[in-house]
Amino acid sequence: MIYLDFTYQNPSLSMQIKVKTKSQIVFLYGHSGVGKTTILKMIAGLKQPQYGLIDIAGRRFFDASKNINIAPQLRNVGYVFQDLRLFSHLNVKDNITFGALKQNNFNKIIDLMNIHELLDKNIKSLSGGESQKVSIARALVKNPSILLIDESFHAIDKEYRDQLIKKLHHHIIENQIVTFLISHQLSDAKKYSAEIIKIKKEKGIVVAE
Amino acid sequence: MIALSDYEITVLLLSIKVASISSIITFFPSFIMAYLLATKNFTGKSLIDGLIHLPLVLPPVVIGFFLLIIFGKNGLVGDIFFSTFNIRISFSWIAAMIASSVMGFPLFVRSIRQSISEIDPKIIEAAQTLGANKIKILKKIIIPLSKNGIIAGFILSFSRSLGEFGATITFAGNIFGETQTLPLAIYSSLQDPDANLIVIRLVGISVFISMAALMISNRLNK
Repeated sequence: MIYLDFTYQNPSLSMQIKVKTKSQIVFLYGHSGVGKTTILKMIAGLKQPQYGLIDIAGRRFFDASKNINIAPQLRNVGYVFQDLRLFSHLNVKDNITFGALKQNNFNKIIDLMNIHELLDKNIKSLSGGESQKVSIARALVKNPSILLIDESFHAIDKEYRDQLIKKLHHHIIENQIVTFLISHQLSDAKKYSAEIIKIKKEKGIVVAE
Repeated sequence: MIALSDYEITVLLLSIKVASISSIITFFPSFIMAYLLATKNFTGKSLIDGLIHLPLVLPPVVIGFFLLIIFGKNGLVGDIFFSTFNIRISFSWIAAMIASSVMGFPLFVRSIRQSISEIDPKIIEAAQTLGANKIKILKKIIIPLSKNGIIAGFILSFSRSLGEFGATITFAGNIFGETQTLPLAIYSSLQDPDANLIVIRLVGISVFISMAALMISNRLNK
């Protein structure tokens, strides 16, 4: 169960989000700059709403009325950032295992992403598509209970992209990972069998539909 | 290869000992202060920032005078050391080391602070979402990414120590084999009309070590 009901305001953005769904995979759809990434950051704990609550899969991450705000490092969230944010001073393997508590998931994820040959490479030597795959692997190896994917497939070849989405979807379902996706391609929602939630601006306030 | 005399070797070794130890012991407080100044906002930050940089703008003799007040035999801290442990800090090599540490501290802090400030906060956020606590972030992200600043700061502090004169002569004196570092030895030799060659040789050693340190520092900052 996903239950988001919060208010967030900063000088450039006013947001009132209400989402209640039993879907395991949610697809956030909306114009660029409308605030989709901000919602993912709230879920990850990198931004804090002023009011309301965030409750996902039975875990209350944030509740303003009870002064609950779980720290990002304790939320067990795998976040694939739009700008990837790989650690440039570490090689691919060290990036992927950075958040891993156990190594038992490592081989499985490396197989899933098909990045065996990249493991010893320097991050700076990777292509855009390779970097995106490494970023996804890094988020998955820690075995997250929530996965946040922010437009992270655009640099991956179309041929491999559909194949990857299929494998990723299978992994998400198999491991019961609650997933939030942002993509400019609405067709991706179907591939994940995700519930589409439209994020839009109404009278200057960002809302979910 | 130019052979060094016993006098030059004694002066050089003492200078290196004072500069090395002062740079090593200054590292931890410098790193903590640099980290706080680069990443935190707190009351009195500007004041602390100003105090740290004071040795860069005050005449070194004034710093030496303050050190005498604090660590001198009758000073606030010096009195405790003398009465409890019978240790006299002022006019010893420890005093030379303290003077060097104080003078090198702001350079060390500035260098590390700059390199920590250059770390993209988004990288820290990524590490947080990967479950990293503050210690892991410090160990795996901040220290490795500010490595060049740390090394450059060490070299700057070391070089500053090698060139330190005013605070050292005021607080530690000019005692051969105990507190007479390179600049103090040059100063003493200048008083002797027959020691021109020694002056030239000591100046040469000074220039050589300082240039080498600066070149390493520049290379690391690239």
